[in-house]
Amino acid sequence: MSELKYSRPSKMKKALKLIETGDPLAGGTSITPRRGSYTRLVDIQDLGLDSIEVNDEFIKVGAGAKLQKFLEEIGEYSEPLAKACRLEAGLNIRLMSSLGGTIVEADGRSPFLTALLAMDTTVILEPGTKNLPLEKLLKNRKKRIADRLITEIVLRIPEKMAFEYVARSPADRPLVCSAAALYREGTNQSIFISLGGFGAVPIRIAKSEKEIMDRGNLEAATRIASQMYAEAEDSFASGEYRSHVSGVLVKRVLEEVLS
Amino acid sequence: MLIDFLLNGESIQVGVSPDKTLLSLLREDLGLFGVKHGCETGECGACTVLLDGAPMNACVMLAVQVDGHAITTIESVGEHPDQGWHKTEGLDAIQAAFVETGAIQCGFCTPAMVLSTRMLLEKNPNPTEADVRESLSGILCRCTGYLKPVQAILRAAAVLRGETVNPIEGGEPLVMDIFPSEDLPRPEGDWERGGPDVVTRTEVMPRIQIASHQQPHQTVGKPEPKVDALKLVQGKPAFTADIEMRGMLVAKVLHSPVSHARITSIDAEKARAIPGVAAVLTWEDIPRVVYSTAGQSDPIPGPLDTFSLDHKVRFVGDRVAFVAAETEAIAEEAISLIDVEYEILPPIIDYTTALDKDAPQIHDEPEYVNFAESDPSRNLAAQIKIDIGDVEMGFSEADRIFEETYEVPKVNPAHIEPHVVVTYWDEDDRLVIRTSTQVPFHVRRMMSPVLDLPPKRIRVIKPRIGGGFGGKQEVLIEDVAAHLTIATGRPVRFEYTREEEFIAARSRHPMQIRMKTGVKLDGTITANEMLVVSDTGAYGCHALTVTGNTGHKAMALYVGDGAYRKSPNIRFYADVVYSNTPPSGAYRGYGVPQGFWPVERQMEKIARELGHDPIEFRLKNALRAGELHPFSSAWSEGREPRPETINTCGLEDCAAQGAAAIGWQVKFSDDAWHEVAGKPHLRRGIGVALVMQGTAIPYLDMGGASIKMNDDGSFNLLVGATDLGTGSDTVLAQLAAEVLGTPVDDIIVYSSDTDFTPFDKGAYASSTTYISGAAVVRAAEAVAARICDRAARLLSEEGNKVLPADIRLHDRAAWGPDGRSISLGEIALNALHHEDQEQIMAVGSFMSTVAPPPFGAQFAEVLVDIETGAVKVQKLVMAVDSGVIVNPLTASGQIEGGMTQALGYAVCEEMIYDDAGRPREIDFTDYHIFAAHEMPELETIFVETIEPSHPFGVKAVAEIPMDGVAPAVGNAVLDACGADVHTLPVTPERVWRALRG
Repeated sequence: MSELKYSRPSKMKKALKLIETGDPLAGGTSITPRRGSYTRLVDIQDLGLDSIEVNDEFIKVGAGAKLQKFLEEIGEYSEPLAKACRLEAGLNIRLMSSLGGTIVEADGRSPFLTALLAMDTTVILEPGTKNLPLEKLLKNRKKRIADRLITEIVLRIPEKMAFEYVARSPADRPLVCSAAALYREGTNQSIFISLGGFGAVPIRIAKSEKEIMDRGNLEAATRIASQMYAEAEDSFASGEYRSHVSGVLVKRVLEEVLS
Repeated sequence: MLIDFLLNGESIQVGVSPDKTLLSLLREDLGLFGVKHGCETGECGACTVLLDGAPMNACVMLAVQVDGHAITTIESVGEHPDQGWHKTEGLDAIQAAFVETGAIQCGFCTPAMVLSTRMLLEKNPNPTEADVRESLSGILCRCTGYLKPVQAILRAAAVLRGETVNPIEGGEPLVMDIFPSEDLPRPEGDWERGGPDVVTRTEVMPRIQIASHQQPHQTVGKPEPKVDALKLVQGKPAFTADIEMRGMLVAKVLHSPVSHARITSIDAEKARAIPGVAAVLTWEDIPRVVYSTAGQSDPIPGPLDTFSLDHKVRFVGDRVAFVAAETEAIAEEAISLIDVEYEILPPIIDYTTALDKDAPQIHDEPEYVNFAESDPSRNLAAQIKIDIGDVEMGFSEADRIFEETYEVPKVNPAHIEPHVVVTYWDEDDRLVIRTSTQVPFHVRRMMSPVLDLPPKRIRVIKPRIGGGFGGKQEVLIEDVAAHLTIATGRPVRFEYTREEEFIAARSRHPMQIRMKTGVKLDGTITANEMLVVSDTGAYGCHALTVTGNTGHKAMALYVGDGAYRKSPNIRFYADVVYSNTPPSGAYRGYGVPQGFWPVERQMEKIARELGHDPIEFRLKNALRAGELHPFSSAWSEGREPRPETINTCGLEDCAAQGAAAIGWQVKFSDDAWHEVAGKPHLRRGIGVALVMQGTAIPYLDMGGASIKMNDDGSFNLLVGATDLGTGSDTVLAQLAAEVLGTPVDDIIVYSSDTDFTPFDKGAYASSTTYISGAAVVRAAEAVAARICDRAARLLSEEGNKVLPADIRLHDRAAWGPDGRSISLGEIALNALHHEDQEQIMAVGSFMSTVAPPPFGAQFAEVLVDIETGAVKVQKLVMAVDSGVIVNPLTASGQIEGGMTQALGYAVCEEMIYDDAGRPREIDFTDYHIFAAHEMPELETIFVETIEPSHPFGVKAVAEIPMDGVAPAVGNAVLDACGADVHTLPVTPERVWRALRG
């Protein structure tokens, strides 16, 4: 048995050095059950990464901030985001899990990650203070976070947002979920649409966004969403079903944000 | 490494290894057993502690993370108010409210709930119900259905705000002699805040339609607090794993990664060589004894087809080797170093193919012992063929024939306390098995040949049980620890992980069920047929009896009307087959929920097709008091059947009360009610199911009790019955107290220990209140007779002559007809110390010749999204005839918890396997059970009858709530949108597909 090493640095520089040979530990809800597969854990609780700052445009969240704190502080800005956050886990786990950890660990059935994806979310990684769109990070998550630490998550506050899901019970993990966020800068308008409930990570549906923004074609946007999940089949639901429901949900979230 | 933290207000410093979890530190190193182990992935919340005042799960936190923080556990919250000369402040308001409201069943999750409530009320002294439910969202409870815990928290909040709350203890039940008014408009709920449209009544007592009692009772019928509540709410070390022993080893099992294979070689030398490994056992190391793990009376009504360890594995999760080591980590490393070579055999995963001619044979061992029609050469574990009346003639007399096929899934009992056992040799070289079991006496008898020890050298101790629901009616893991104790001579603890609960425990039998029903146009059923293929999995434990009850109860309810009542035509055939999936077994309802899904879906469709009111159609054909139980002369769990007449049946009143409570008459026929204004994609629906269960197994189930009088007039009540959290110890104490004229507080209950308590077959078949309760009454009556004899003599010495028959016991005293009395304490002192000394003590036992069925009507209201198929169950109502209700709080807790488990069966619970037999569900993420913040409104109504075969008129309550929720939900979905789903659970995709036709 190789002995697990644990460090709790209070300086970022030291933390980043340690992460070169270890892995960051925030809440620990995902890592603790698999602790046997790690050699060194770098606890980030003393790095001061738990701040939440809200201005007119952005929500800036330290990667170590817990989901419950985030929920309590941003609930008034976005009830759909709060709904997705609540659905992510029960209270105890929300009190333990960090935003950074969720971005690293959550799978495609994560309602919260699906919602974050629709919020034009950017992730700040150290070293190098690299700003990376969440969508890009999720496309190759393991490689992009290797030897790095997520320090901050920046969410763009939309003018309007919607989140919908279908599950076997009200608090079960979604079979399909979708979020949409509407942004307006002067006369410019943009929409972000995401789809979750399947696979390794949720996805953003850029083609649907384009159909809506360029042509205002809701039917085409929902059809594209359906196509995105046409093969999203596992033992929880068929691809045919997910394809149909993704169209329904995307239509609903778009109608909500465009109303 | 050293860590410093505040633990319950005290600064401590301890050394820990970085991979140690906080749960392990608190339980194993610091002895804080109020922190429970329910899983390893943080989903159940049983291990909740407060970290800096916030509830967090100790199983998914490393101990090193708490360095510099403050941890609070239940041990610091409150305590017994009276500790001899030391008086304390007692329980805190939260704990007191949990005790008073009946919010504690097994009590395994209670410490977590109490701690979580602390944070809630500190932050928000005036929480809404939605706030309360949200605060419990991280803690799973499989017993209560959350209603009473929510009520307890709201009550505690009121107390802490300084408000006056209504008394519960000693209060009268909310009596309801007439039907209640129709369902009142529901107050607006907080849908999006996690506590949707649930309405928690401020009254915690259920509504009861009271039967006219022959005489008033003192404690029977009263909401007495549970006798074990005080210790459970304090998190006292009351459960099996809550024990420290010097030199205790930790056991682990190597489970098979393949579903069907022979072990061609197994090499454990590397594992044995690891320092700290005390023993590694393979099939080559222990006796090869064939047995059944089904915890049932002798002789076991099923095949003997199991070995502690075998050279063949029959499902992913089957046992390959046992390890005992100094620590869990060493044991796990040893497990990983056992080299096994398998000769892979073709598996049977789809059980409906098990009887195919070319199917592989799962049990080819020569030691296999048949029972009845079992035939391992055909993969047949049991077969049942029951014909009552002339079914073919019945079909020929019908105007219409309805045929349909239904399916029910494999589901997990999901008790929050896993299976756990501790074994050790005592000073007399007797093997002690301390185990979380529903059947301690069966454990002793059944382990005897497996361990090569006579029963007299085995002692089984059952501490408190953290839920069982049938899953612990299995002698499942006791042998693992026992073999290792025999091999090492040392104490051994073996506790399942949550994953092991899914891959290597027992589950509800999945079934494919074909129904055929003949009906006249006037709604008279002329014949009813059920053909079942039932999957027992890799071993035949409970194969015959579970599936037999599918027909015995569900197919007995509808006998037909008119002449068919006297001579119903019913057919029930079942093939119970082996497959290479984890064994099925006992799970609350014991086959009956599987039967009522097809029966009640079938009844609904027939009623609608023929244009009859669904409730009237059912009642027209349903069994009534005074009629013969149609299956009683045909089948009795593999034993000789004997005719049984139904003495009591409150079914019509149940249907009327339940219908009124849910507003059936208003909603069912109102098209407008089915629509949702402004939301054309939503439809409302309402559904019903009528159900019956049984109460014990006649001519077989026996319970014993002994009662001993102490110096102060209190009594020790010793029972072999096992309280799984149901409150049966309390109910038994109430029955004894009633007879002995003393408060429940003076009855000290102990259950159970095969050395000290009388035999009881154990907790199953909804039998404890009825069977064990009658035994308690008999013992109490014998003790009361001795007390009355002595009291009469003492009173006669001081005045007019008094006859024992004229003595009445009440208020802790024996009362003569002239108003003179002598206290029970004085009588006890007289008997034990003063004259004609004797120990006033008696033993009683009871075996019933009947199994009086409880009856019930279950209703569901749903909201269906017709675009996605999503179903939201909004309200569940159950009106139930369980005879006389001994304790309204514990009884309604059974109904609420049962309805909640059944709700999971209805909409989300199922265990799925891939083509290789690998399970999808290994944790509570994928196997979703309902949490507090997603519950529908629950309502319970008791319709009392007085069952003449029991001294207090009781019938069963524990299992019947499992039976009708799923079909009521299925029928409500049909009512809402026409989607006719035949397969459980009613998932969004199944509804969507049914809508597409």
